[in-house]
Amino acid sequence: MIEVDDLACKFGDFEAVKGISFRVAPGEIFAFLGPNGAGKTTTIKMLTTLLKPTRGSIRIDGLNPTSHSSDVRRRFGIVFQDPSLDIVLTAMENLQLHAALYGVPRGQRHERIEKLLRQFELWEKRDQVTATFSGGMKRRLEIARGFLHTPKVLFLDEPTLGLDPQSRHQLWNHVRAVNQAEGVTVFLTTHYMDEAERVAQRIAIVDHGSIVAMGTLAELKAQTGTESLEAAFLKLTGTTVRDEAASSADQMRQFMKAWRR
Amino acid sequence: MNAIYILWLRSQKHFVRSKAQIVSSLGQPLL
Repeated sequence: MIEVDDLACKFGDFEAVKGISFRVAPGEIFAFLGPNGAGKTTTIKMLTTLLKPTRGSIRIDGLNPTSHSSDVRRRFGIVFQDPSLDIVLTAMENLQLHAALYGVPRGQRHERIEKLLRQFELWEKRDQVTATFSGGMKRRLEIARGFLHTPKVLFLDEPTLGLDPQSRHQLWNHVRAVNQAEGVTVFLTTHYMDEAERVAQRIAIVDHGSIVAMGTLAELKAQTGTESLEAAFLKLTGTTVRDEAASSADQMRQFMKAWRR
Repeated sequence: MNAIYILWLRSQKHFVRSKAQIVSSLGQPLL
């Protein structure tokens, strides 16, 4: 479903991603782990047509995101690190807006929205404005929205950031249920090792723009001689805290803080 | 065309749900 060969991305002199290669099979849940600034989000941006690679090739369902960006965009759903719901609209309106923009046939829209809202336990709250939703509910709605146009791949970029353990647990149960029911390939990044351990069938660990290890949980443990994914991760990437350049969203937050003062 | 209509509808809903926008759009001509 996803084929990546020798993928690289350079920002000036800084090479954020240094020639990575991997394959993700249809219906697989694949975790892409790494410390801050390792190149995870840059890789997702290249896979989802938001950034042009400097080198290498990508195939999503056999199509190149650079030359067939519109076709590729119809084939995937994405949940970003930062919230992207329209908080003035209700849950139902948010999904209707997304369905219309993605060209979900009018006759199927309501049925599909109802199915997903029920699956993600949000049907009772469908007419509530999303500004009143808890963090977990908003995240569930965003993931439901990602599945709305029946994509072949769902990209989840740290979807559980800032959620409590109960919401995280519930959210992954929902993702797994839809993955099994619809056979959607899931490509996720997270900093919570227990989530990757529980959900992912295969895991890639990335550091300084390169993949340092890849395989099943058992393979990674055997490769590093460790007992848990967290221990394997720390053995492969070290224990030094990484500096990360502020993203545009972080820069905006800093600007807003300064503005309020 | 459908996308333009949907985005217009979204803007209308934003407008109708924002009291400040309604008050200012009615109050400004009076002032």
